[in-house]
Amino acid sequence: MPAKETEKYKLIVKPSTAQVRPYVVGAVLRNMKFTQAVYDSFIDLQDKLHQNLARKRTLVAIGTHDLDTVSGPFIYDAKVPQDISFVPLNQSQAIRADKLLEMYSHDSHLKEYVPIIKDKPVYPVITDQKGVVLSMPPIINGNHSKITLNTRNVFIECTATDRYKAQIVLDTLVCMFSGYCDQPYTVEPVQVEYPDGERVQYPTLYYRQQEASVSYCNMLTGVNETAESIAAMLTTMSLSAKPQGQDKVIVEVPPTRYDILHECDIAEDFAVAYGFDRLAADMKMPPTNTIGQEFELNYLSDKLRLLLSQNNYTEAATFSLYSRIDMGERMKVNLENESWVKVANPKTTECEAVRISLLPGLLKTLSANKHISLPLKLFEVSDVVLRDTCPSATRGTGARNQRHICAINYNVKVGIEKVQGLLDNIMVALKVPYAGDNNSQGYYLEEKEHPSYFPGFCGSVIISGVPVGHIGLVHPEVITNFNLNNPAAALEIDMQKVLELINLGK
Amino acid sequence: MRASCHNMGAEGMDVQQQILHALEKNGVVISNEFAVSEKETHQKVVGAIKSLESLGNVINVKQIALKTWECTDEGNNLATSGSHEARLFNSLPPEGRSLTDIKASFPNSNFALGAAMKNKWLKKEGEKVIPAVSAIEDEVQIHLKAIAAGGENSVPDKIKAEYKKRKLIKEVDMTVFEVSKGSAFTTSVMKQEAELTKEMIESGQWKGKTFKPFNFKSKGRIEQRSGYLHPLMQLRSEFRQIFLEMGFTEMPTNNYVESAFWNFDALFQPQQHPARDAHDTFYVAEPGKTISVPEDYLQKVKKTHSSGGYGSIGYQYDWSREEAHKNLLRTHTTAVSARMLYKLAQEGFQPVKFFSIDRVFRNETLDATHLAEFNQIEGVVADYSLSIKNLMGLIKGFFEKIGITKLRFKPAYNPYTEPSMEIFSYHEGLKKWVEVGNSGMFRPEMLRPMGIPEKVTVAAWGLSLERPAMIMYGINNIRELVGPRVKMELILDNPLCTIDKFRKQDQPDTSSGPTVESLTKRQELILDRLLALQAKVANIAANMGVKLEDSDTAVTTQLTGGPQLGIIHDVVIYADPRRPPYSLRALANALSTTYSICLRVHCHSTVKEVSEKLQQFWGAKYGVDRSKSSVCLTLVWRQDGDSPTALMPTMTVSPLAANQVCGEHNIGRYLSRLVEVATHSINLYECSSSSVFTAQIDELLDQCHSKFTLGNNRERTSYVRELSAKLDKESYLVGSSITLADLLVLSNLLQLRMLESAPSNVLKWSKGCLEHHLCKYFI
Repeated sequence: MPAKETEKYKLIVKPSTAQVRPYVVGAVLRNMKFTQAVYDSFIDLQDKLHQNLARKRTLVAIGTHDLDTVSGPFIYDAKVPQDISFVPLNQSQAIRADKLLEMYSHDSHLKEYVPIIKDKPVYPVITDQKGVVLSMPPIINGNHSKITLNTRNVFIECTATDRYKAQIVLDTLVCMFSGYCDQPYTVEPVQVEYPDGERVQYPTLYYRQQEASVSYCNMLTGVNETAESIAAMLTTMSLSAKPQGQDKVIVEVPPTRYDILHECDIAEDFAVAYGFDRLAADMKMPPTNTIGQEFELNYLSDKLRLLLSQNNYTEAATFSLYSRIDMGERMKVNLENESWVKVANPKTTECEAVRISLLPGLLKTLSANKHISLPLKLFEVSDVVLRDTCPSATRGTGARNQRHICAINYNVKVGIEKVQGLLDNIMVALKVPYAGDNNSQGYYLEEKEHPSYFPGFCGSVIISGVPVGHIGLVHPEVITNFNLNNPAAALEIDMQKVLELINLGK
Repeated sequence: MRASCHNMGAEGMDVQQQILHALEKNGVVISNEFAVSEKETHQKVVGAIKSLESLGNVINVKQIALKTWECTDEGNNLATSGSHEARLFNSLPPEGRSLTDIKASFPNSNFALGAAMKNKWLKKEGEKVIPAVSAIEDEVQIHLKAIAAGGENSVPDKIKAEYKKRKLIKEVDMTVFEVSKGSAFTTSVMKQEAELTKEMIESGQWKGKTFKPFNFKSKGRIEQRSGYLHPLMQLRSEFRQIFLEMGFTEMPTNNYVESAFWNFDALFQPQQHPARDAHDTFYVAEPGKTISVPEDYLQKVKKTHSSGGYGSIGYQYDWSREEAHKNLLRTHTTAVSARMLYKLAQEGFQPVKFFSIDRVFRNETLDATHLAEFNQIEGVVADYSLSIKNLMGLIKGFFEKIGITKLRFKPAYNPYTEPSMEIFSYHEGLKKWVEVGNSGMFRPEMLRPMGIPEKVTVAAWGLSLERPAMIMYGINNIRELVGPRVKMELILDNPLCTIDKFRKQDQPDTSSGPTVESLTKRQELILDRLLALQAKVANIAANMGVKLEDSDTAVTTQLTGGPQLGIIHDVVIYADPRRPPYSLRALANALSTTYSICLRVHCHSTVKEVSEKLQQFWGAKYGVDRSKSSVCLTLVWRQDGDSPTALMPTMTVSPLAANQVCGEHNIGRYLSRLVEVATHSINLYECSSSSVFTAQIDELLDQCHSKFTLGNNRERTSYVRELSAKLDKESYLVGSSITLADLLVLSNLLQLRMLESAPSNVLKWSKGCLEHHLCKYFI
């Protein structure tokens, strides 16, 4: 696709564009022939590029124009919105840029792009030498230079915040559509002049040489092919490749293959050419001999889950994301005092917070199962997440998981002793002795207030002087907050802390 | 029933005995009549009958449903203490009382006075009311007493109707039993012991007793509900077990909050990648920034992204530390794999196999198959010179363990693996290949900055835990499987999770489909038969002197999947709210004349807002409950894109046959046939035997589809002109009554808002159509 040096179109960049969208590239496709199908495909490709590579026009925005309706050199400027006024695409009247954005913020298609420039001091605009507005990127083109089925000469401009991406987008468009020119696969270059005097000619259409090692390709694919046959197979993938010696293949990466970054990408094309079905016919287990090992915390969790089910408690599987109201207000917990992890951008209120307790999930499960005969006894062994400034405990993130055991006994009449019996069984299983007289060896309960529990009927579970959780009657207000109407006794303990304390004792 | 048998004491035995004697005498006993004649409660008699029935063939019992009368509370009151008028009569002294006095002190005095006067029990003398007779018979009380005792037959119907009006009695449904002698009839039934007891064993009395036979046909009882493990968590345990059997080590995945660095950057996923968008990833507000990332490693990652290295040219962009330091809820457990591989490289590489099954988070709009969090299963193997053949072998070994033996691999793209493969397995139930997971070899740009040696390659694959669980438990909505809204029945009904681990050995390969030769042969056979048939038809036509037209013969209305009794025929239609398929309303009307029909409207997550009008597409309060319906039309508003084909409605009839019917015209055809299968009184499409009629409609439907639905504005307006010419002479498009063609054209004109500007005869036609009874809710 050699660039033909016939005529140069300049794109002069003004300094103010640096404040909003500093880069621009361009090219001209001469003597195109559009049919409805080609036209639709041309629009489709721009859409796809806008969505993916251009990350919804934030990185790159494409404008295509009927060159014969405008005259170069073209000016890429950025002006205050009040100074921009033009007839936008498919409209009949000139509209001022700020009004235009206001209008498009209600447009189902364009509204998502409005925020890209809305609050910028200046808006980018491309004009021709007579001041005709070609486009106001990344929002909309002008109606004047609109492309129709009769357009013959197309001026493409891409404005960008990422120069490399703009180059990719332009090259892709040019490569895909220069084939419809009267002289197929030709393009006329556009020279971009930056304010600092830099001059760049676009499109770059850069062909890169990528070496691929034959032994690497063979190793990754699990075959044993020669350099010649690898090169031949790559050619069937439309990659021009030549063997060089025994262990090298030189591939010419065309500008349409920006996805090729490394020889592993070449190896993949080779594997695809070789055929996955053919490879699968000779698949084999790796020779890697290792001995399997469980993660200790999961191992113990599974054992305890079994124990809880043997105590006639049924397991629930709830979500680790809660709404703030479920975690705070409904539990009578003031979240200001809790180190909870807050989600920044939830799509629904259901996902506002990462849970600090398993109890709300079990209460919600109860309320979805009011049709089941009582007693309902539920448990869950799962992680809660807490903010923490310790780098090692949080693996550097500032928040750590903590595995909890939570159990609830919901019945027309229920006392704390019901779940206390379960706690006793757990402690027996973990070989923690009962220390009824509050001595430091073993576990005991101590009355302690907790907003989610009925005053006077809530205790701290303590092992060797360290509190590890709560036990008590769920506060009647909490019960009604979750649309329930029977008393419930609940137990929630920090299993990880319990295990730490046990290990400490050993 | 058992309980009542156990309670049957000596008294019960008496009733049983009485029934048997009565049977011997009369040959038949009706439970309610027997109760009246023996002055027993009906309940007691029924209990006795049941006990006798359980003895075997002593008696035969037949159930009869009866309407019978019962006293209301008020009626019972009068039955015990007498009617108001009788009470009034009885309360009066012989000299009588003054009217004012009675009115002031006697409850219901007005009614009592009126009734007593009417009965000529009392008479008025001046201001006084005095008895007119010396004694009365309170008929009301007698009647009510009789009804309360079940002897309603003695009360005339006219009086019952009057009492009903006075709310003294009410009609109730009652099941009575007609008892006759059985084949083993006897009047001497021995008392049967309900259960074997400690005393009987100790005293040896059990030897002389007969025992009530055990009912082997009833279900057992559980004293206390057992505890269960959640099905999803059980399946998780199964997958863990498989990995452990394969020698894999579990990774510590207990950190939901992860930095963008480990979640994305370490995996060589560029910072502008769409997956990093806030639309897909939950970012964390507090703690918003990560505390620390290994600095030398971060520098290497930064360089690899921005300018390349290790043989890569990199992504060529300004890598931002700030972006990498953002905290998020991890989007995949591969973030932990990255940490583990980095740690491995720091401690000195040796070959490893890692796995994990844990929660990951996606900022999805929640629907039937998407949750904001789900469990990801992941396997990773790192060793020298692993190939994709090894990856395939691993995946095959893994899936064989869950009974999936037929696998295919399809090239795919993942940002951090190269080569990448999607894993497909053949689903025997669905008879097609379904995607079961994703896999690939980690890119060198990910591994080398960690310090993993050059010759080491890493194979990895992943899948979700919920998807196989949904298939296993036959669940279509993921929220019925996981989350706080799960119904306990799921857990109670699936106490044990077992997977098909043992199929591998003895499963013959049946994957080979029909061969090309066999298909060719079949095709030729069919063609031969068709030729023979054609010759036969031509022959008959010649004999009968009929000229055959070129067109195809009438299409027979045969709907194999049509509605059947007792089975709900489910029709799901997806439509774009910008193109509401109005013709469906008329078709729903037509359907409702012959089927009990359930009409529902849902809104897919792709549709942000739907007007009240479209939410009530079928009209307010229209149709019956789904469980009572034979046809269920579900309309789902969905937005799939802006192209004409994306705007078209589609219909699925059976969720298993993935075939979709596209376009309002074709949906119309289907629904019309559905109407016409059941009734001949509605003739919309092909019910009339005339193939010409149907062909005309077909032509119009196809034209309407290509001109209106797929065409541009010019084609549309010219087609309206064409229709207008046609309607000059006729009041309907085809024939003399409304047809599917009219409905579709009208619907399209409404959708495209072209009716207002249409020529006058088209307007007239549309008015005519809209007045038709089928088009009651058309707009």
